[in-house]
Amino acid sequence: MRVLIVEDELTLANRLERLSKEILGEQLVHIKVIDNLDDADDYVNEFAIDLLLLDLNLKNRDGFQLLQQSVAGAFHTIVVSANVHRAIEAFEYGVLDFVGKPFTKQRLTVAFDRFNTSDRQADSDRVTTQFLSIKHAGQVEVVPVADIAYIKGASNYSELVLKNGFTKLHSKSLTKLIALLPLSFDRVHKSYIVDMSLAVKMESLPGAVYQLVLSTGDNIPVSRSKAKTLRQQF
Amino acid sequence: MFNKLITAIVITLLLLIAVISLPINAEPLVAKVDNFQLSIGEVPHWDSPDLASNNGDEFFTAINERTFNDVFWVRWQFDISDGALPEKDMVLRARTLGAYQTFWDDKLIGSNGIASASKQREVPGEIEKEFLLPNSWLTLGKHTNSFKFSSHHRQSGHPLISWVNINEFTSNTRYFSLGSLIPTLLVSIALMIGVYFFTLFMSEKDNKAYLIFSILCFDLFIFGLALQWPHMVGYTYDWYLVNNSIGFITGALFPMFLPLFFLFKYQLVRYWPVILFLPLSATILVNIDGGRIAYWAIGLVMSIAIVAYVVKRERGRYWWELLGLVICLLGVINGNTDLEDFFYFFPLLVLFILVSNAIEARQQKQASFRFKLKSSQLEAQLLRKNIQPHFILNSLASLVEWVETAPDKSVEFISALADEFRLFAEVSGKELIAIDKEVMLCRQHLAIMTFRLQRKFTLTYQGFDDRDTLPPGIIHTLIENAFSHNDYSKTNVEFSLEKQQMGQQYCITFNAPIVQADESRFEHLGTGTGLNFIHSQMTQSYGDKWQIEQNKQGENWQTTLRYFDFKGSK
Repeated sequence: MRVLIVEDELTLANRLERLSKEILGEQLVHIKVIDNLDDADDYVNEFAIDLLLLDLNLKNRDGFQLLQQSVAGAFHTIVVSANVHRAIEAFEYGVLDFVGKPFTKQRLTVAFDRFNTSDRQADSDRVTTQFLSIKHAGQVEVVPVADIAYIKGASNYSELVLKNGFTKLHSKSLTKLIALLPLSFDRVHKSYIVDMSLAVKMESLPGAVYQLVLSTGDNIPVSRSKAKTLRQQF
Repeated sequence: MFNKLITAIVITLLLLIAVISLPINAEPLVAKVDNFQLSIGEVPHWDSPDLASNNGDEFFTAINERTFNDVFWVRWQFDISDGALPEKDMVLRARTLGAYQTFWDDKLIGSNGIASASKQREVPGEIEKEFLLPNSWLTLGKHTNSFKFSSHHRQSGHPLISWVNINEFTSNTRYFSLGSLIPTLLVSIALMIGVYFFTLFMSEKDNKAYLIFSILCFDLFIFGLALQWPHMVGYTYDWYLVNNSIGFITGALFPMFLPLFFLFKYQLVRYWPVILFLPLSATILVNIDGGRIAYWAIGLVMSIAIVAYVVKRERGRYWWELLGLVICLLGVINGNTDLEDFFYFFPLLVLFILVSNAIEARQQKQASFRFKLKSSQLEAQLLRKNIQPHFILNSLASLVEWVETAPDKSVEFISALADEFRLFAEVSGKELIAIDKEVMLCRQHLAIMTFRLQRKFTLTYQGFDDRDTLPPGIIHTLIENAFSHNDYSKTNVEFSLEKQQMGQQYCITFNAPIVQADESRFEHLGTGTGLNFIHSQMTQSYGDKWQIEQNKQGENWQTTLRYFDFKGSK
């Protein structure tokens, strides 16, 4: 795992680095500490990372701007900040976790665990993501999660299909997105996440092939294993 | 605002109508008066009078300068053949400066003092006197009214006879009950208001306008008393000079004090020489008929001009006073030659000044309430600035790290934090604290920042003694601002504080090294409350007698505070 720490207070940067190494152990491939937003921004654009640990106030500049861009990236973002009053806003923009300062090793471990597992039931009381940020031609566009009908996975990106039929490309993989999305979204297929509140019925086609029919008129393939659990719902 | 104005105008008009329509003057006897004659000497020689005229005004003026040193006679004829005979009892009333016996068709009506050819033997008469006329004497036809006069105590220029008339007996009571009593009451009001404003002045000695207004009221009180004294109390005519002089002086001062009061009230006192125009104009006006009225009118017009200027400048405030002044001006002009009428209108002016004062007092009360609110907010702000969540949480975050990795350091850090909070609790309720204390607070803060950023932060200061004071949190705020505008994470930093003093004028200079952070695409987080805080704190303690200046001096960002310390413990 490649981790970037963006923190301007030396003591805290050291602490984050030390604890990350302790918690992740051999899983950690590379760790980098940057103390300002501009260098951090350049870094994530140039190098691939898996996890960003971001402070929201760096040298009195607003880290939220970087947050809005970074959540559009392929990596996950965990905010580590004393500005707890911005936690809900951060979650709405799709951060994996918000760790308030001061923090313990245990709390940081919980945040890292969230990266590793896709067990979404564990943190159902968390504020759910309201928006997905999309980077397109250098601009960050914000898509309300409520507008998404389903998401189709491609090799290294995802295709958001909106209720009005438009599609948007997102840099995160389906695995990363499902960790952020509200519980009404379900991964029904290796390549599909669906807003289950739109599902009308499940159809069984010849050859043990299954598909969900959405109220938008779209037909979404369902994997065999998922079909078993879904059959009980319909 | 507009509705209030209309209400005020309506009330004023009603009062005016009420005052003007008072039945002060009773109908005098309808009679033609003519055949005025003067005869000088103990025994009259009416066949060859020393002066004869059919015009009363001319006659009264002409005899003035011829009747100082001897006994003399004057007479005239009342012709009541054209009029109706009176049904009520009548009186002969006269206002004169002299001693006399008066006769109706050669029958003695009465005496007022004793007329004599020699000054020593004259017994001065009352200035105003009245004699009952038997109804049986007032028959149809012509009647001669004669006076045996002497007037040794009269000054040149003073009128021998102001008026002589025949009126209903009850007219005098009515005059006292209405025509004189009301002005007298209003004169008392002037006294009360004078005392009231003098008390205001005693409790607020800075406010010279109160003093001027109380003097103005006392002046008016004496002036009114001088005007009313002849009717209300009466005196022998040899006191006329005293009475007249008091009336003249107080009457001359009032129109000067009135604009002066408004100049003081509106802090325009530097324009005081304009009131010198009044004594200058008096030298001309004194010889003109109605000059006194013109003189008063000038004083009022000046006051109106001043108040109108202020109303324009303050956009409508104080128009109550303007209204009161205009009414007084109308009252004075309306009074023709008699300033007594002014006393009907002056209370209106006072009323409006009081209303305007009340409005002002209410606004001051509100302002002082806001000020108190503001100071408690400042106190809270000062505490919150350092016990603000962000500062504490970041400090605790560092602390957690040291607890785990360097327990000794964490204990030191906790005690540094505790010291700063303790100092804050100590200073935050106070208006002024010793600069020593402020420096301790700042150094404590820098100690914490030294722990956190792992760079050395120091504050040097020189030129102070332990009696110098400042509102709390000023230098602390400058240090915080320096931290938020510079990147102090890579170098050791030395701040400096210096003082220069000339008498009560202080000049404090704070230097913060400039360490520019790299250019950034990201927005700066607002830290604008710092200067606001300084501004409020300094204004609260020093009013407008302070200045702040900030500029770049070499490698430093320099803040200079200049203020007059009248409150320090020196």
